[in-house]
Amino acid sequence: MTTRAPRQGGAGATDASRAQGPVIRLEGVEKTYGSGEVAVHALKDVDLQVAGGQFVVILGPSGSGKTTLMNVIGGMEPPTAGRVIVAGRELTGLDDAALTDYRRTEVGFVFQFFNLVPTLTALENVALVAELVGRNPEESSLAALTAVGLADRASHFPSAMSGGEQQRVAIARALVKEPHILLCDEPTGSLDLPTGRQVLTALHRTSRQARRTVVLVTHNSAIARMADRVLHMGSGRLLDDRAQPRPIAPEEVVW
Amino acid sequence: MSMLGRAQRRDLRARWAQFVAIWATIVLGVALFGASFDAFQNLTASYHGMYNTLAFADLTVTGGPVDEIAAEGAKMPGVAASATRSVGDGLVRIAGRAQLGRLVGMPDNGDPAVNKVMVLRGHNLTPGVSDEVLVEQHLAGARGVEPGDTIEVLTSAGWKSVTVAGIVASPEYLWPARSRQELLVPFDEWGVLFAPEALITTMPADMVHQEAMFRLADGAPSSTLDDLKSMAINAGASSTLTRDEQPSESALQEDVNGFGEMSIMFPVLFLLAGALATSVLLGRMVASQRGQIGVLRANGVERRTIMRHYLFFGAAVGTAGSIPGAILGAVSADAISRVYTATISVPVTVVEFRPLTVLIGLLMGPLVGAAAAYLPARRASRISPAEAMRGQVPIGRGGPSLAERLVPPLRHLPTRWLVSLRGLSRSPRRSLSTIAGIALATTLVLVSWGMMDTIQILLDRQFLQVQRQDATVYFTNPVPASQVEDTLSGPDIAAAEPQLQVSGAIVNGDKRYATTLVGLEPGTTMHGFIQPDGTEIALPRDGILVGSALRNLLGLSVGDTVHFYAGADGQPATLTVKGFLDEPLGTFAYASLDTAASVAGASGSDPMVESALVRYAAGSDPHAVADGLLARPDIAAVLGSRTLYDLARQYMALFYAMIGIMLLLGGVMAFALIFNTMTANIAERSTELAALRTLGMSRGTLSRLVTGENMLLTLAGLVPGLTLGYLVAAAFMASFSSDLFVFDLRVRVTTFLFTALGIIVVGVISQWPALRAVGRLDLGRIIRERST
Repeated sequence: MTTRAPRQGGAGATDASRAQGPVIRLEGVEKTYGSGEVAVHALKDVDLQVAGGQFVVILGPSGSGKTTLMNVIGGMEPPTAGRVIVAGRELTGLDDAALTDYRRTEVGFVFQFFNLVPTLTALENVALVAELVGRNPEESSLAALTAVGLADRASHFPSAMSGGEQQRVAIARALVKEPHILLCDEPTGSLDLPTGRQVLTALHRTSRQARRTVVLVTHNSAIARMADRVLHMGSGRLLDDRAQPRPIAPEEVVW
Repeated sequence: MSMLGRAQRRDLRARWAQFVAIWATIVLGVALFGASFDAFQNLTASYHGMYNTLAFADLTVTGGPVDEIAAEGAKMPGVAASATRSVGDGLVRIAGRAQLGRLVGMPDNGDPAVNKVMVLRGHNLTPGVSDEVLVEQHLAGARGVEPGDTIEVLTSAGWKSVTVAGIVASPEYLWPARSRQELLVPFDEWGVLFAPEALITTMPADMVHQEAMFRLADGAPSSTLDDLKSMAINAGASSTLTRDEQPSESALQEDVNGFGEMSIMFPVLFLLAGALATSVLLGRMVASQRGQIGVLRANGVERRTIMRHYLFFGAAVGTAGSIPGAILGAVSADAISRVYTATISVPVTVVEFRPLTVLIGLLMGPLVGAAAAYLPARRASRISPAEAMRGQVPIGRGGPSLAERLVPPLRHLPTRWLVSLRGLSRSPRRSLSTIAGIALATTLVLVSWGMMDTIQILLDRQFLQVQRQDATVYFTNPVPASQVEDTLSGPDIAAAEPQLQVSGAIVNGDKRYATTLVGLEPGTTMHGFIQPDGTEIALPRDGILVGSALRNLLGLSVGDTVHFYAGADGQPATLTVKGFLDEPLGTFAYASLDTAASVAGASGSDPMVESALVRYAAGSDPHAVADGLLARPDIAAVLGSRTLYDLARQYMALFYAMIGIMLLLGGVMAFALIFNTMTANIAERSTELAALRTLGMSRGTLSRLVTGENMLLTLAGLVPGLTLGYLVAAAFMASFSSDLFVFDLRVRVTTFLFTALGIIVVGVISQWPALRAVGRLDLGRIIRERST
């Protein structure tokens, strides 16, 4: 069993790292699958910097490379070329154990299809991750569920919860370890508008209140309107990078 | 090829390892059926072939007016032939060394109407020549006797030289047993010869008895045998022996029946395991292909087409397993039959190719495979198009595990342990199938190992706890019981006690059992009288102790009065049953020396005995002591207990080899099942496990989580497996139990532990491929493929 010292503080930890420069920095990142005639260039010469506490939406059609970009930032796929530095840690060249440690301490993930463990309650799904980072499972998990408005559903199993509730449990699971960044892959992709808004609200809250960097990948351009910054991907390249000075509230998002 | 056919082929290829595991269990199941069933039939045919050729008696009558009995019996409907003969149990001397021997009388032309012999080397008896003998093959082999050799027979006038005319095989001595109580006798200590009647009449009269033999015609009325027996007993015979009761036939039939039972038990185990693994694999396949099934149904593909599509997999792997299994079974049956008959020295070996067995084997696989695939195929055919196109497998209700409900404090375990604990209920059908399969594998291992334990423990019991002498010494001439100790005293002999053996029959009402009454000194140190409850009982001064098999055979209880008819024409003695004994080999009766002497009709207080039980001095060389005893002119034979023990273990060698194979196959079965389940479990949860990896769970932790679930499944299967294994082993051993062998199951505690450990080790090994897959989860690919 890996025992780690509990993380100290919450937003305070991210303040310190934000003060030191961009939380996410990509330099000339490329990602190619296969070789020769069947090579697929998923990312081509991507340069990117994201400051701490920003809510960033990456837009693009299927096959544009947006998910690959997220995977590279999340340490799930190594780039074929270039450098990736997140929260002051260079990911390029790290072995599997180091990348696992990186994901455990620095990154939270939210997936399109929740991927909760069906045989654990909401509280236990969150506690599973809390145990990984040495936090008090019950205390920290309940706090995380409270933050997403699901404290009263702590003892429920996923099968007894709606899609939106399951996704918010997944968010709580990602947040319980107080990561520097939160990576979200189509978090509202399988949800309807009202439910999707609930999820976006939870994500937005963590970005604002905890000053946590949120990178959200989606093909739904309506969501982009709530972002601080919108990146457009196409054919593996970063086509556009635009700040939004007046992002809308999650409740105002319509699709 | 249709597109669905192409998909089937690719699905088979994609899951080749799992299908191979199932294929292996079906091959083994079909092969075991073919091998054991045909071996059973080959051996039965071999014996019957020899019995028919050599006119093996259907009934042998001992004692009474045998000529009249034979004549009367010959007139009865259904009797094809009858004959009479003399049989002498005496001594023979070969190359200067004496041993016990049985001389069986033959007519002058060497060709009796019943119980003929097959000449293997040399020639039959020469008509009119009384100093020729035929030597039974086992004795000839043990003592190196060949046609033309000269050996000696002890007659009333002393040793008489005779010439060996030929070496023969006899249906009565395929298994050369001295009696039903003495199935194991070293051939160099006791053997059989066939001699002219004229020679046997020269033996001491008290060593010779008369027999009448009958052979029934094909299609004889079913009552003929009972009628013959009644007639013989009423006429004054002391005992009757049907073919089934004949010692050699009984021993061989127990063995052959074992093959018959194995031809059912082991194939059932393996084919059931194959069916369970097929069900697990196809269940998982259907679940993972729900979306595809939905598309097909939405496009108008009929339910029965879907059903046939998935039934194909079961039938295909079953057929693929049946073909090599049937071939392997046929080849193995041939080999097993030949090795077996060579080991037992059966001169006639019938090995037939039986198309019906091959056909049954060929059908077994596809039938079992299709039956196993039926439920998953039916589930697939019933998936509604709309539900399937949602693309997600319903994740089930979720809830605390059974263990947590039974032991609530378990809910406070670390969460990752709860993942393992509750993983069993994710797919109850799959978990139950796997548990059942592990139980079957455990059963196979424990039955095999338990049989081995039982035989080893019972042999130890027989030769260490029951028989406590180092040797049984046979005197050339009877010796007064009181002089036995002095006669045998010497630096290498620690103790010697007289033994009186009286052959005869115990009779209770209309039930009769031929056995030997053994007379020993009260307080004897040479024999342990162990009761069925394991406690020892002292030899009573009056009355008898009898083998526990007689409780059922003769309907006896302690305190009952029975009659003992001594010898071929003895008068009955009335005896009280004082207790029952649990002796693995044979069913004897025991009494004090005085009681036995009285039954034998001996007068005086110091009976004459023909044998003694001796214990060697500590540190002496048993072979040297036995040789020294045999060198004495007053000692005819020495039957070493150690020699018997070694002979028994030698006969068990083939059996132990078979057990070893069964243990290995049990491991293969467990491997196939756990491997299939683990692979299905991992495949179903790849995204869930990938999610945990992305959240920072290390490979090691994830592997331990998966291993934990697997080990819980294995342990859950071990409990019913060990229980079922014990019960099946007990039933299996009991099926071999009779008055010849008392096979009460005895399993060492370590056997249970090692069986469990072995299954756990196999469980750990079989999950390795799936764990490797866990370690190599391509997180990026899984995330990409699940995103839109």
